Amino acid sequence: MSGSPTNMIEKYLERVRVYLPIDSEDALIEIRTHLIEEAETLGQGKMTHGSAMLAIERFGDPKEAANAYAGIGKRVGPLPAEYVQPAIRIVLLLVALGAAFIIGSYIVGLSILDVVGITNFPFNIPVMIVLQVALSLIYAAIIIAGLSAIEKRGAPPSEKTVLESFLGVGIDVFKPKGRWDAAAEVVLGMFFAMVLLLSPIRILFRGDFLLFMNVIAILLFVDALKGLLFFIAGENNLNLLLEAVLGGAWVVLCMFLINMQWPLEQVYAFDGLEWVLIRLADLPVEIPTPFGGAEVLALLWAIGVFIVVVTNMWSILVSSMKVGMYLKEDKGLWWQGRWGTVRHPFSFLCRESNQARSEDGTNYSDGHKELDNIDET
Amino acid sequence: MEKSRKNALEEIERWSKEIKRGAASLAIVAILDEQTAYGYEIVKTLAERASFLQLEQGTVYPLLRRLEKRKLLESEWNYDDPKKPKKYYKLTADGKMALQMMTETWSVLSDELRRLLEGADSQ
Repeated sequence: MSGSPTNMIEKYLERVRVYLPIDSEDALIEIRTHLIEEAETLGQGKMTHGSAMLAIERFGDPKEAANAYAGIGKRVGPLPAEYVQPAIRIVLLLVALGAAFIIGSYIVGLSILDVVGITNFPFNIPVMIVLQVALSLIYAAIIIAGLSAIEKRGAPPSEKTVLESFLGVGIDVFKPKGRWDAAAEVVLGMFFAMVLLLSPIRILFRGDFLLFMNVIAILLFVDALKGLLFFIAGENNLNLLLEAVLGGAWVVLCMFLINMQWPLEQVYAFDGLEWVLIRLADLPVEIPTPFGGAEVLALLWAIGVFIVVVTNMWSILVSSMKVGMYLKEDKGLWWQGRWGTVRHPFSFLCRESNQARSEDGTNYSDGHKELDNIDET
Repeated sequence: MEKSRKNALEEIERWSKEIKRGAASLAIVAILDEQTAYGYEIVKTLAERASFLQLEQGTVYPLLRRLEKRKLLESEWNYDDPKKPKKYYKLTADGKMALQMMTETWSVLSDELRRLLEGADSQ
């Protein structure tokens, strides 16, 4: 279902976005304003479901609108020109994801090829990244070619096709950070940094981990500062660079952390009268064979470090791509940037009020009726 | 006779497209010479004052983008209404110079064509 008029416009824009290059946020905002104003004009001052639908139809097919904006590119191999931009985005994402995992595995001392049973294979990180690029290109080409062959169109212009749903994978990655997400980074960063500096918490950890706890607390404070900058100024190159540098700092820290043992030594437990400290080693927990408790904790520690490395590598790669994209647009270091789509934390409490469900579709306040069952032929 | 008419209609369609393609840039630059305007305003003005162009709404924005890339226009975002941020375009010095030259070329072209057509009519 398309939902409110605004929602319909957003869905249409998501379809246009699929075919646009990743640096097209300005174009989408411009089109959104156009559609809202056109819908308001057609609805004589009020945007209605019918006027929004008409405005969308007047603007034209999303693929054509996007191609007009981005310029019709050239066919690449088996890919038609209009699918080149989505394919580039998918390949970038797959490569970034692959690179993040490969580097994360490397840092925790794990070879992905060893895991799948291939040993003594002369692969190194650059070769594997090249391999990843090649495989990603092949995957993207096969999937796009396959889906476009079975593509049929019968849905309203605000609804994505099956192919577009696939092509739109990863679009959110390139959207600017939402303002609420940035606020959450500030709050959580400050909170956890302060928790790590509290003495009742610090006594739980091994002595040789305390120095690293200080470094982690500092990084969390800087993370909160980064969140604050995003909250104030949205996405700009300075904020993205800070995000990339901070991600790099986390990865470097992980190179040290992976060589450490499980750091938590004690936990608090309530003995019925008061909170007392209990050493983990003294806990009567039986670990199923073949592993002992120390091995399980070492594995958990390695998994934790791996996750931190992968998420931060991802952050570095995406931020770097965005900085490159903004530099191409001749943007400098600092400007009042944008935030991503507002995801209000309490949005689930809001209800669409301008539509009413009927048995076979939805009736809108302007009399427009949208059927649930649209012939797909 | 019917075939000739069909051919003529096809030719006029092709020719109109070619004429409109060039004229649209000139029309947009001329509108922005009068005042700064954002995309939707330009679309509406073109629809009212240059109906011959019959531009599809979606085609104006790419033109604006191209003119901006060629440094004939510059733009600035206005966030007064946060639900509808507007990208205002205005002519640059290069744009003004280009408009002047385009106008002169257009005048020469239309004068010469008119004379040519008048000559064809009188024969």
